Amino acid sequence: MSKIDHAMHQLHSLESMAKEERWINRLHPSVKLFLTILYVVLTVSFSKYQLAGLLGMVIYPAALFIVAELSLKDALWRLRIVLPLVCIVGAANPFLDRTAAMNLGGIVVSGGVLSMLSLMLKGVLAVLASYLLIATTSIEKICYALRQAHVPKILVTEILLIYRYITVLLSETRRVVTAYSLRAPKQKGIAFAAWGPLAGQMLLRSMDRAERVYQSMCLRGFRGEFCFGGTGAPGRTDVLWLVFWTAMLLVLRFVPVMEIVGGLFV
Amino acid sequence: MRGDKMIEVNHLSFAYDPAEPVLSDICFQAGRGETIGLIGANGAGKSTFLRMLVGLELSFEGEILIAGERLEKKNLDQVRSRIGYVFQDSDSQLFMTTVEEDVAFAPRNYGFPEEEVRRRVDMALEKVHIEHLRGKSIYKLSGGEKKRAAIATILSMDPEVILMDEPSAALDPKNRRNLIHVINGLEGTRIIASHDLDFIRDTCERTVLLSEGRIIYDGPSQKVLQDRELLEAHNLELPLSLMHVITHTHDGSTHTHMFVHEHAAEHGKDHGTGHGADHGTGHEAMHQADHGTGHETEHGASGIDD
Ligand SMILES: Nc1ncnc2c1ncn2[C@@H]1O[C@H](COP(=O)(O)OP(=O)(O)O)[C@@H](O)[C@H]1O
Ligand SMILES: [Mg+2]
Repeated sequence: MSKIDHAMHQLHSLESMAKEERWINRLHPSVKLFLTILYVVLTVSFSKYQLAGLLGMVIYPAALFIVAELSLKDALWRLRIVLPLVCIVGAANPFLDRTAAMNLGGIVVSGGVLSMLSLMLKGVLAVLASYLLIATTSIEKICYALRQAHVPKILVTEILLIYRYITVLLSETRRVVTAYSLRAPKQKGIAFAAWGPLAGQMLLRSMDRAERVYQSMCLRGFRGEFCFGGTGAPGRTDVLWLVFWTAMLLVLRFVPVMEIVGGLFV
Repeated sequence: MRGDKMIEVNHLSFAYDPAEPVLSDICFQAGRGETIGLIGANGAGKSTFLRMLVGLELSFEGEILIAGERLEKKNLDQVRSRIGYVFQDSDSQLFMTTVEEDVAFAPRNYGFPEEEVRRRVDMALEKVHIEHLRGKSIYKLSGGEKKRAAIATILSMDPEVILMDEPSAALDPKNRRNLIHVINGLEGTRIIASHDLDFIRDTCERTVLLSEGRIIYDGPSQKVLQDRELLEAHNLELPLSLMHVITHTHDGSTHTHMFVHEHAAEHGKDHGTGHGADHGTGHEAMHQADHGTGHETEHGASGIDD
């Protein structure tokens, strides 16, 4: 499989995951969106030395992975490009901040190491939470939830159109690259001299396609705003799920649960 | 509304580039429920003509009336809600994630309540026989399935007019046969642009021949589709189904010949009032070619006496 095929496959497998008939997929998208945002905000708001408290936040994504029966391994594999980037953010901290912050059985941990770890963890948790949202909610439903949250329609439509355009661009790219490699079979990759014309071709073709897609939308009554199948008002399960996790996340954030639990054993 | 005319085109002329007219002085009418084939060689202007009928090109001369209403920028939405256009390229038509979402796109845009949307989706999927593909990802459909899904996306609008651009292009014989079946089962005015004359023969009673932007012929399919001289003068060839196969055994080996069919009017389907005009040069051997339209069997019985 070529890299482009692979990218398309990834995109579509994520999409079909979001379409599966799982219990968690059927939760109201607004509830899921709200919880994800709440989770990210609370996680990021921990101070940089509160590693212990942050560890408690692992519960939410862990529970979701279990409930949604998603594989953590797949998730980490899919996010293999993003996660290292997120981790790099705090990498310099140990060198900048050398004040002792903690003593773990004789080993002194500097503030820098602590803040590096907490920054990494924050990043990883935020990415995982977003992944969980995307893997259990289709793009249409996420956009529907955004509209419900009064995000301007132009922005939401833009998100959806760009999302569609990615698919169009990928498939046109694949066609052009296939056509090229069939005529240059011995070559690995694409000759530098051919990049310009190929890129131009791709852009023109994908614009052409995008225009036809847009025409097909207009011919079917599209007037600038996506109409999402109303998911209806949240049901009892949705409300219970919302209340439970909101309470849980607030407790994890503002009550030093880990310290209390730790204190019981000392 | 004016009478029974669904589409009325008066003295329509159009050009993308003023130096090269694409359509010249087209006059055309289509009644309710009629099925019309639009044939012509590549570049004849078939696609352009269909695009004009749904208002994708508005800078034309002359007038277009849909159900008595003049096609103009200001009533575009209204006119378009009556017409379904099936693109040649299904990939451009299908852009949502699943078949169901895509079929629901139009009725949702037209503001129908969710219950009605679901009813229409069910109805559309049933008409093209793809109920089983409802939840399937568009990305995973085969070419034939995509074409039928594309048709379903416009059937859910419940259109009075259905326009199809080269619907049989890139379909294998089986899918092609299925599509003929689907099209013949639809209601409403249908215009099918194609250079696949066999396909037109199996779906349309009336045919319009377009050449260099002009209407050369407008009448029973039966008549034009066997008019070899006329077709060849406009870079088209006789439908393969009008030739038939004779197989005989000679000296222990089987020989197959293809002949131009002289009694095409005997063809099983009702093709209007045309009579088997004796064009063509008779028993001329033709090369063996891909049939797949279901004619082999029909002709096997009716044409062997030729
Ligand atoms: N977007 C366009 N811009 C300029 N010329 C076009 C465009 N689309 C089609 N044409 C020209 O219009 C003529 C008719 O094309 P078309 O309607 O696609 O023919 P057909 O569908 O019968 O093959 C052709 O000469 C073609 O080159
Ligand atoms: Mg065409």
